[in-house]
Amino acid sequence: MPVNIILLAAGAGKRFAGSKNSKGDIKQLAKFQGATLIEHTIEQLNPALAQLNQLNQTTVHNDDNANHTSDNNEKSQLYISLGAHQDKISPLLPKNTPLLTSRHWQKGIGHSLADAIKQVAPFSSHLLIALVDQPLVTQQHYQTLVNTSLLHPDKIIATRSDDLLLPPVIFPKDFFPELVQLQGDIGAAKLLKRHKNRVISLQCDMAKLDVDTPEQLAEMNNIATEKITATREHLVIST
Amino acid sequence: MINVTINKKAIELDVDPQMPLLYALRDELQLTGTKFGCGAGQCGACTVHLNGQAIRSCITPISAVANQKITTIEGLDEHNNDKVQIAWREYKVPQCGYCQSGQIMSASALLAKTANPSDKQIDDFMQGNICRCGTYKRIKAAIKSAANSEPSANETLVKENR
Repeated sequence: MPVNIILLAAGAGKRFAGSKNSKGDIKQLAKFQGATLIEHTIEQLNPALAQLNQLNQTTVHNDDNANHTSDNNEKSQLYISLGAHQDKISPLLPKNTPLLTSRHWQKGIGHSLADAIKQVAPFSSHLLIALVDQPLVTQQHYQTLVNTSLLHPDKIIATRSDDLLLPPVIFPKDFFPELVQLQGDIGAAKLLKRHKNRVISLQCDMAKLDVDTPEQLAEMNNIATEKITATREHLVIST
Repeated sequence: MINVTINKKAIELDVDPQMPLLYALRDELQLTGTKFGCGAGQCGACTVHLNGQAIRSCITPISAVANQKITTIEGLDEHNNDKVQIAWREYKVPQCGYCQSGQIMSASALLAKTANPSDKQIDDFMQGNICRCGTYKRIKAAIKSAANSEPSANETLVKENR
C-alpha cells in the first residue's frame, strides 16, 4: 500500500474573508507568488509525490511476489479535501485531481481531517497531511518528511517550529483509528503530544507562519520574494 | 538531487553534494544509530556498508555514493537480529556503547567476506574500529561466535522465541 497525501483545503477562511482588507475573498484562491494558495501548495507537494511514485515502481519491480490488485492502489496520490467554496475551487485544479469532499467541514478542521482520512485509510500505508495555508513550507521540507518516513516507517514524522509540533505531518496506518475520532476545531496536535515517544520532528521555522488574514499573506509574500531574490544574488555571485 | 538507496529504500536528497554521508544520515534522515567520532576516518564509529563493504561515512561525500546501496545499523536486520547483533547481545559486548554500531557494521562486513576468520584476520580487519572502553576481547569473542553460528537456524530460533 502506498503513502498518500491529503491536502486540507476545506475551511471557510472566515477570519480571512472577514478581515477589513478583504471583500469576502476566498482564502484558498488568494494569490501567493503569482498563483493561488491552493495551486502553490500543490506545486510544493509534487516533487514529494513524484519521489513516492518512483519508489513504488522500483518496489514493484524488485518484488516478484507482489500481489497487484489494481494500479490505483499501488500509486501514491495527492487527495484534496474540499468543503467551503468547493464549486469555485474545483474547476481551477488540475484535471483528474482526486477530491475528498467533507460533509462536516463547517464543524472545523478536526471533522474535515477525520472525514478525509476515513475515505483514503483503507488503501494507504501512511498519510501525509498538508495544509493549504502554510505557503512558506518548501518542497524540500515535504521531501525530507517523506524520506524520513520511508526510513522510519513506524514513526510519526512531524514538523517542529519553536518547540511546537505542527503540520505538515506523516502518520503511519496504526494512528488512523485515532485520527478519524477527531472533531471540531481540534487538529492532530493533542495526538502528537500523546504519542511523543513515537514522533520524529523535523525543524521548519516557516511552518509556524500560517495565513489567517490578507495582511499576513502579503507579509509572507514579501518573505518569499526576498528569499528568491537572495537565492538569485547568491547564484550570480557564485557563477 | 542525489538518489541513493538506504536500507533498501530509494531516497532522493536535495543537499550539497559535498555533504558527508554521515551528516546526510544523521541530520537529514534521522538515522542516528551511526555515530560521529573523529570526523577524519580514523576511529570507525561512523562505519556503514556501501554495497556490502565497510566504509567510513564521515569522510565520504554523499555524491560519491549516488545511485549505490547504503546499509546502516538500522537496516542490518529488520528486527535487529542479524547474527552479529545476536552474538553482541549474548556476549554483552558494549560498555558505553558509542563505538558499537561501527564495530558491528565492520564485523558484519568481515563475516560476509570471510565466513570463518582467524584471530589475525579479525585483528587486521577490525583495527580501524577504536573502542575507548577496551571491549576488544568481547568483540573478538562475539565475532567468533557469530562466525560459528548457523545463521539461518540461529536467526529462526530467535525469531520463533520472540
